[in-house]
Amino acid sequence: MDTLPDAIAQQRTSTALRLSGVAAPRRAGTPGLENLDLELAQGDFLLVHGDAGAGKSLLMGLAGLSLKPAAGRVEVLGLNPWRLSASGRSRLRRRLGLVFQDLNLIDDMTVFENAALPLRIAGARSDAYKKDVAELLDWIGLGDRAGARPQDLDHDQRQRLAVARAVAARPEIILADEPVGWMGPEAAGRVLRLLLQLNRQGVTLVLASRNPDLAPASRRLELVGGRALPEIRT
Amino acid sequence: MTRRRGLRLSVLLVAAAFTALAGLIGQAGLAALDRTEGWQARLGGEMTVAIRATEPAAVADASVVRATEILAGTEGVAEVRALERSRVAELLAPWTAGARGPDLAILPRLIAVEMDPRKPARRQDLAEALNAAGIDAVVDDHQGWRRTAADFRQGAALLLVAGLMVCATGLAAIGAFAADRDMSLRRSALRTRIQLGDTPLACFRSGVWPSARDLVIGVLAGGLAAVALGVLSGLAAPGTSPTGLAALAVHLTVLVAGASLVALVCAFATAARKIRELGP
Repeated sequence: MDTLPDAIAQQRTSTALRLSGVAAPRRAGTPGLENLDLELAQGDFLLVHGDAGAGKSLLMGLAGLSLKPAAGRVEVLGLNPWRLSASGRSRLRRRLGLVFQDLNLIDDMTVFENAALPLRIAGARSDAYKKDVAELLDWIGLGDRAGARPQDLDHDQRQRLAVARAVAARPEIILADEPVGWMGPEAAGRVLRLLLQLNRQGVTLVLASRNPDLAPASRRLELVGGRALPEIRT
Repeated sequence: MTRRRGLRLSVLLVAAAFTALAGLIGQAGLAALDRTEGWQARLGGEMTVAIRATEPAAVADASVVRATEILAGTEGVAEVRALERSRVAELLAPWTAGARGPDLAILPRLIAVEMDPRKPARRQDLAEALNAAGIDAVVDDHQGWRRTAADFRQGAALLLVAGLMVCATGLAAIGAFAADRDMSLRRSALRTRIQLGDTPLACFRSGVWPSARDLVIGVLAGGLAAVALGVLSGLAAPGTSPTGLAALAVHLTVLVAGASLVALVCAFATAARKIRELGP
């Protein structure tokens, strides 16, 4: 087992994500994923699209380590997460930025605390990240709601908060499942610009959406009934 | 949040109630054991000589004086005390329906004989010495009373253990319930933290800490309440002397530590299981 913490924290590889012959079990409303192959280099931008139930969230779950593959092999940043110890997997997860489809905000934390959670989990001191998180919230239009609770926000604001949390700790890969689905055009444009800017800075970006024209991705993967159609690269 | 606050308050109160109950059972049991031990020691170190009542009473009085002299000279006897008639009447009141005045004449005369603890005299030694002097007396070595005291002591010990086991089981159930409910209410938050890279150990700590703190506060409050009730009701009689106070403090510490340990072990075990259930 790969258990050396330093190896996990410092491993640098040109491959950000590799799925080889991966299958995921079916879940309610989805047929599961079958024999999926995918390789992303660092700095790639992949848009995964398909209808509801096509398997987009399963793919995001596999890449985001919230799902264990039923078959095949997953590699994230050069490591096989399912051969790591639980704490090794936790350290690997800290290198990812996740926007969950159902947001998964923590209701008994404030907006600020939610946004700063990945930094806190990574062991950063609050005085070291306080200013950055406040700036991020300002930029994303939640600066005046920093002390509010997620349940006091509308869905648009909650989604922006989920994006802010995903990018707060400067992850190496951002996996965002329908990140702007509930946002108005202005907020959506702002959030996508932020994600694209991070991608230009070298962050690997994977967006999942029903909208195939959501963003100008360099790579597009369409899922239909749990199977991937031939990928389009531009 | 409101549900969690309600849960935490209930856990605190129930833990306090169980610990107070355990504390009272403990104090009552220890007091019973302590007193029974005292009775047994005293009964074992003494014998009672009964001189039959005679008419006129002066004959019995003379027999008592002679018996006292003989007993005091017997090997293995440390001290001899002839009991006053009024004291005898008091001791025998349950059997004589409170005889007074002239009725006292029909009561036997009693002599308390304290044995030398290094080489105590046997019952036969005293009986033979009195018979040799022609004194009509019965020597009671308290065998019957000692058996009764031993039975009482055994019963008290059994009740003490059973009572404490019931309370420990209750506290264990509270610990498991508190951790289970608290972590169930925070399940989605803990799951999110794990997906964001928090370690299972950190989630375990953050998940179990509120329950553990409530349990310890409840147990401490219950322990103090038990001592206060024990002192007020006279159960904690040893608390009147410095040695007794120290013993009480030791008992309280053992009680609180034991109760906390039982509750916390169950809370930790349940929290660990809940963390494992959160997924990969």
